[in-house]
Amino acid sequence: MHKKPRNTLWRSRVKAIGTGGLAIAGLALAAPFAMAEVKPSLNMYGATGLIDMPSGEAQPDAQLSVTTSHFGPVSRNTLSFQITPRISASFRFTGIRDWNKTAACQPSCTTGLDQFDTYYDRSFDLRFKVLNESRYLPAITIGLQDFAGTGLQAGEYIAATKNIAPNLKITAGLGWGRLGSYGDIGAPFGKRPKVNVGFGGKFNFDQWFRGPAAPFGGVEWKFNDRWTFKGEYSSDAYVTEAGTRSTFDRKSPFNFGVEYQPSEYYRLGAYYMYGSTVGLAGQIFINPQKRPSGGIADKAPNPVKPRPSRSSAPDAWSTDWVTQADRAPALRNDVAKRLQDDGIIVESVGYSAGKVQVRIRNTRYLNNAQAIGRTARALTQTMPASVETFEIVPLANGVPASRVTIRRSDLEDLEFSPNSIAEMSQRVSVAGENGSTAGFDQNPDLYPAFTWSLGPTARFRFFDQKAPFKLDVGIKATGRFELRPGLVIAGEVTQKIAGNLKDRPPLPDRGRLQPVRSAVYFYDKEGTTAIEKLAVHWHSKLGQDIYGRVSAGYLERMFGGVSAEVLWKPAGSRLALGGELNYVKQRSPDQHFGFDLPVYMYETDSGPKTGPSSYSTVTGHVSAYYELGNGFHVQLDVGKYLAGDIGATFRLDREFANGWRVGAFATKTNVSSADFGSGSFDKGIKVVIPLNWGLGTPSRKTSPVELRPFRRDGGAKLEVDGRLYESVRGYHQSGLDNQFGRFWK
Amino acid sequence: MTVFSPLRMLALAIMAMTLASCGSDKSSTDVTGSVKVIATAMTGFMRKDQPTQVQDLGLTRAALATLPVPAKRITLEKYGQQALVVQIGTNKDVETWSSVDKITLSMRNGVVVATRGLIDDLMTASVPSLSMLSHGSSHTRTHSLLNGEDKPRVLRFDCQVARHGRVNLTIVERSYTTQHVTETCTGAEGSFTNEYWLEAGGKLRRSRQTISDFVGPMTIDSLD
Repeated sequence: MHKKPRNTLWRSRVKAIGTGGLAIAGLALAAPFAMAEVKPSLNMYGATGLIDMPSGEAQPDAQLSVTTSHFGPVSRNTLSFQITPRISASFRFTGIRDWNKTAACQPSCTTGLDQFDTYYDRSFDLRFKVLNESRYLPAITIGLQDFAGTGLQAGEYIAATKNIAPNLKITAGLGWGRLGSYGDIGAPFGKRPKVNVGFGGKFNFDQWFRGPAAPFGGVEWKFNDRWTFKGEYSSDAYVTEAGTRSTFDRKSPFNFGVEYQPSEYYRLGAYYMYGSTVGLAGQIFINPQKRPSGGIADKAPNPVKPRPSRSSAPDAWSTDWVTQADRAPALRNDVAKRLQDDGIIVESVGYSAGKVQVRIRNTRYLNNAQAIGRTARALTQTMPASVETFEIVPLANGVPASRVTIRRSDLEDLEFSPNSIAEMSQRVSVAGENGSTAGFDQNPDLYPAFTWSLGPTARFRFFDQKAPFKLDVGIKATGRFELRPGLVIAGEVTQKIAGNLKDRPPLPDRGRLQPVRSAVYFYDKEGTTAIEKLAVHWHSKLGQDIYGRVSAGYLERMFGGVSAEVLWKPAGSRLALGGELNYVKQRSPDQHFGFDLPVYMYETDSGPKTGPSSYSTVTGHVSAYYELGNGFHVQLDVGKYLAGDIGATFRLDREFANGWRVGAFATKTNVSSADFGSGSFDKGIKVVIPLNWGLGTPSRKTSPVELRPFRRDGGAKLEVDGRLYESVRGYHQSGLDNQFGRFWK
Repeated sequence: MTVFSPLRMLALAIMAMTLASCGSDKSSTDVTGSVKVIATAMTGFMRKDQPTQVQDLGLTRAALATLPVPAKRITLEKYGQQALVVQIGTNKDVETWSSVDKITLSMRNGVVVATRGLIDDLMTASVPSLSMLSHGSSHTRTHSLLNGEDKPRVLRFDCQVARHGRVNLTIVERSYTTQHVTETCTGAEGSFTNEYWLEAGGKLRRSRQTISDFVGPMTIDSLD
């Protein structure tokens, strides 16, 4: 595959911003040691830092950190991701106990903020490292803490960290917001306006770096391989927690602690906080670029079988075989047998004297290049010598996703070349046009096919303001009836066994929107035996680069109806365009066959409400997908959402060649913040973990997790299976190119 | 307190999930897989490399005589495993040998240029020829592996060959007089020493060659 120039625009912009950060280089300390010896650690917020204060460093690129920390009444659970070497983001769930202990309304607090014994809050942070540490200059980071929240956690900072000895580093910084609440030196950038919280979730631009600023700082001393001592001076007065709410006693600005790190995967910490309480922290580190199992255990592929030279074996090069009767099923069977252990199903084979095309279904390898590579090597074992050109057409949902053309002599020549991966990738070509299958020999036993499964299932509800998560466990049965390539009837039935999703979460008042998602609690509660999905899906290739899908039936837990989609995606293009149109009706919460909406479904905490006894809508989007390069992907959807609101969704993902994906999304529609409710607009993060990464055995399955601070009715999309873009792009040029390392595996 | 109480629920869930799933479509019950991922990931994180006792195949010449084709014996010290391999293919001057459970190694005159089926395989390599090894040389080696993201990871080494005189070897009841040669390689990402035992006439009787950090060295004995 021919390499295209990577998109460097994004990188150069980061550099440009980076050099602007030299303004506070005055904090730099001259030091004889240039390189960091003590790894960047995390603070109680799960962000790179000291104990309660941030530092100027960043975590290793792509690292995911999961942190839980507790001191006094304060608990924080944080997921952080180092998006690029300089940019990181955190998503945090905070709980403050004894919240209403001293409230005026005691002993019976029922309204407003005082009703909670424990106050729960969610926050997002963003950090940008403007300067890397060098011989004389420190690492410098600018950070926004809880930059789009209710303001309680909000703070901004600039922090500098320098290694001054092989195992000693110091940090100094300046904080605003809550990080400027103790020992301030005045307000260099003017007054901090009062936050207009409203429904939260908005960017509080006008607050950032305003109001009193206070210095903070500390040291980290790694006194042996596993133990680190930390000491800091905190500029956080805990105005609300220690002041207004009296949840703990803040006696001193100094915090001390020790951290123990026995492996590169986790760290534990114990601290003495604010002169009065003890703190504990646990941190787990996962790097998508590092498989815990070391790799994927799998059997060796077929080796390449070179052909004899034409002069030494002229008979082997004869083309008489082309016209032989019964030769086609025999050749198809030969290659199918060679690929059986690899989970690659051969659907059909067509050939001429010099060329063969095989159509395959890859059921085993998440890495598509590996499936192509194994198929190509199996063909060298089975095809007569005159066949020089191999065309491999992978099928996605029964539809040809691309045509990969490989010259047999390249396989023979490059198998053991020291640079075989790069050399081969330049010789493989990928096209969107795949030709007709007229005259192909089809495997007659593949259709119709019925497959089923029965196994355990779990459903989670995260962060419902009463607990970090709740869950139900049960049994799930699935069935797939494939009638012919591209046409399938698929269903999913679950039976709940136990769990606590029936515990009622807070059901805040909603605006005028239909509860297309906020009534999910009633679907969890009523759907003991649920037909989660039962639909017919038809996938088709409509033209050279055009793919189509029509789905009809019970498409998802909350909606049934008809969904049609078209996608334009040339095999060599980084850009794809698509459109989807759905007519759907909201399903009954019991998730049987009906569409009647019971009146209890509209209930909120302020009492019974009414709503229509049935709800149907037309929803759809036009979408643009673009691959930025370096593994970054963006997607923009514009259209009408399930509740009838109109707007757009933006997604940014970082994708790793091994299948990991970490991304964020936000949807803004014409719904007012008041109608949307808490959070103001729909947003969240999505992490996709390939099962093979952790299992260490081949599997195409991935485990996607979506985390949203608030799930409301605005900006909600239909969740239908088999959307086109993700199913075809992996077999296109850049998809195969990114994964080409495993072609020879 | 409330922050921790769901742990009990999670424990319950994990117990439920470890129930095996069944059916003809294994891929659709993803939860069992997810739990396995967490379990293997966590045990992987805790794992330490420990040398394992090699389980000897217990070969005899009488048993070898019943094999229809020549065989080699490979020993992976780190896994504590031995296996017999037989030749399954030749591409130009590279022979590929495979074990029954489909671990393959590809060699040019006995010098390993690739492996498959070993988790962290040697994808390809540029290696010295056998005559460079037997006559003593200094050369460079490149090993191409895959990193955790499946991108090629090329390691470069500068190597020195040294001859250590005659050594008598016994391999499955038979004795051989060999010339012991070492190839010491150093690079930015580590160093290793490969060893070769050559018979008069240049036949490679035994070698111990490094595959990757993860796999460690592989000992290959010619049993013909």
